Amino acid sequence: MTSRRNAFLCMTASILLSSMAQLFMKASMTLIAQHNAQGAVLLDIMLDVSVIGWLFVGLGSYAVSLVFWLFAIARLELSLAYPMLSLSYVIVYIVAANWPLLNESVSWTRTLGIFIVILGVILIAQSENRGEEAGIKKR
Amino acid sequence: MSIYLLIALALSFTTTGQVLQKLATNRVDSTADRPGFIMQILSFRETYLAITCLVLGMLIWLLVLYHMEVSKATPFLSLGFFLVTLVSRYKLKETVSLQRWGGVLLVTLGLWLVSLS
Repeated sequence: MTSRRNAFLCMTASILLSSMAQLFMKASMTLIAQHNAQGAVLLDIMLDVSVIGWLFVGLGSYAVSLVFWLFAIARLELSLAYPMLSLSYVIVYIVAANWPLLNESVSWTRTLGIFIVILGVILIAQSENRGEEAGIKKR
Repeated sequence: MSIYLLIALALSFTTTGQVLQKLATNRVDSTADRPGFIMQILSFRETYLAITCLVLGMLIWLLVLYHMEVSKATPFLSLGFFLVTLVSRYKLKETVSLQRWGGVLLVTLGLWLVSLS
């Protein structure tokens, strides 16, 4: 079984991978929407390598993220680990605003929200119930 | 179908899937090594129920993303943090301190602010 420290590392890997998954799937959907706007037929869309490519990289990232996640929650309480997944929205916000394909809007309100999320995650991280074994069977 | 109904469906499936995953990992013998951990996980019914819920949640989420900007759609999932924390407290009997609830509140509030563009 992994140590508690490794569980946090697994959680970090899982958060990074699930952020990538969200972004890649959105890239794929954006390309499909562009094809539709140009009046492309379904076959054209299916033959576009980048549409299928982003979709599969996205789904693959999700799958790997899931394995890391299982190792993480085996050691951590769900009420500690799950809210920390919100960090992936911070990552998605920053990348989606800077990736020309997605080109999503940025505002002070949204950026303030992002800082409040980070503050929330810090509070949750510090609320760790040390010594508690998150419902794992005792040896 | 309303996009908000789709969001609610995705949210319910994802929350149920998360809790089922935790129930599965809780059943693993703590002396198991990494391959053993995977093998044990793969033998539990909870794992397959969790995967079914998460896949359904994700497929519905793909539909949502098709119609909505990703940074506008994701804040709706913030309600999932409250749901999962609630279920962790009452179903999994975890200790959720006031500070942790405060953190979850800030996360939810922050994500709603992000949705107001």
